[in-house]
Amino acid sequence: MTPRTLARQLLPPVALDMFRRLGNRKYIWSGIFPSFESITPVGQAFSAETYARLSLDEARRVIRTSNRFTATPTEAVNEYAAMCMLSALACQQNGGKLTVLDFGGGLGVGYVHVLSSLGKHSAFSYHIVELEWACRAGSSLFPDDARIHFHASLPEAINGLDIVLLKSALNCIQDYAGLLKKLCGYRARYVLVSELFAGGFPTFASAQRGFDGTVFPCWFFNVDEIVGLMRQHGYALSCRGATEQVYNQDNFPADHRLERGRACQLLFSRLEPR
Amino acid sequence: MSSRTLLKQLIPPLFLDLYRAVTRKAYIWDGVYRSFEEVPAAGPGFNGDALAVPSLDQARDAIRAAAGYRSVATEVINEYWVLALLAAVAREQSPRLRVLDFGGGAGVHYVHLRSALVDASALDYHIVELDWACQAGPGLFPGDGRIHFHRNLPESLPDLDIVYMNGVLPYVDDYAGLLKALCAYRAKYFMIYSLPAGAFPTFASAQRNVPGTLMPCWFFNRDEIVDILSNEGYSLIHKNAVEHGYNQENFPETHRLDRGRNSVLLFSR
Repeated sequence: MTPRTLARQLLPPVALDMFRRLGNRKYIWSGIFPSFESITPVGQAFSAETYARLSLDEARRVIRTSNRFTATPTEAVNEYAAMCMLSALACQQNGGKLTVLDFGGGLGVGYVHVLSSLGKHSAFSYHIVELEWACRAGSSLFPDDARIHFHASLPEAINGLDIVLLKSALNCIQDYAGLLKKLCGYRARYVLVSELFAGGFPTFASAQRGFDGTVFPCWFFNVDEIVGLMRQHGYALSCRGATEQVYNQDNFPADHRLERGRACQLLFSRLEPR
Repeated sequence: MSSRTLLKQLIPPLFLDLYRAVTRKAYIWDGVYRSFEEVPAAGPGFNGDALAVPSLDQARDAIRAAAGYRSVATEVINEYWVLALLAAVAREQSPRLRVLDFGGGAGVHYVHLRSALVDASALDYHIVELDWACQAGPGLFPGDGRIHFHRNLPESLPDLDIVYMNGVLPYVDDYAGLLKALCAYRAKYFMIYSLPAGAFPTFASAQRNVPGTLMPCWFFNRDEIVDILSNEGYSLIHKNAVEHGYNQENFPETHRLDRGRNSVLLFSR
């Protein structure tokens, strides 16, 4: 048990909450800017040492745990539950074959969960587009597993793609419209956008604080803009929901905050046949 | 804020855990029995106010919250989001979206599904429930022809897309009979959410977390449930777990849920 965990156990929740409110780490984002260029980045964002180390630890833990499941894969919960179920549905529709592109899929935690929650399947291929360090580290976690592929940039083409996953990644992409266009170009049956910071406000940028003192730009989207972009590229919104986590945005003007502090989830379906 | 919630805010988690550990209240279930008849059941079970009142309140809260959405369906989270995804996919293959929600309470899942779907006009939602829900439920949805409450399984529901069961199968004595009856509707998808299941043989236990009630509850051998549905023409396409973990330290180790978590099983015909 770390001193931090011990303190959490010994302090009454009301005192802990007060401490958090008074502390400097209260807000994840600060400022409202028209563009990414208006924000001066500090550090290496998602290549920061602590972020990389924690991601690696988590991936190793998930792989270890998934090898011990008896009747139920117990770890594919929370934000992973929906993508696992959608994968199963797409696999069933495609006669037992499943191909997934996970943009910003880290070290393959999503892959482990999808694989362990999937029923009978005849073919499974999972492509992750990530930063260089993640591609190197990720590949070493799955030696001899031909089903998972790491790409440092978007692959030219992926045959028979069923699903594009975009989990908390779009917010960090400066040219988000360009990325959506490219991803829609694969003509996957479904595009699942999870943990998207979006609402009724006009799209704006903010400065996000990360590990090791990093600061990087992050988009808050007008949700209709994203839906409109997807429609331009042949995808219709099928359903919408939210994530459970509530963010504190008291430092934002009321009309620029996420509704109830929650990120949204959007499922898009391809309008026309491939 | 209730006095219970206030107390939880004032007591350090370590002491709260200690208190829970030394009182038997930490355990929801007690005993391992072969059948429902062996469980010393008492109280009104699901017919009592202890379950009916919160269920109605939950549906009312969901309706109120949904009416206040601006751009984001903020309450469509976790299990509601999972059902919405399933429904959205099923809807693509069907001119209408017909759902049978066995044990669907006062319609909380319907409310969230209605908000989540971009086009909810084709929704046709059937809830099979106890008297209290069938009496109070329709009053929560005046003028809404998309939701229907039934005291018994309807004679027929043609072109059913989804059979949905959330946390209800453990309380049905003849679970195999019910599953077979539900399979007979020939729905495209059959989802069992929050099923206490594992590698252990099926057994009954006494559930004691509802005030004034002690009710029998099944813990299933997962393969037995899968076999029942397989024999009726369904294949397991997805297996998962729900996040909440239960404390079952009073059970023999061999009879505990994996990590204390209930299962999620999705079948397709």
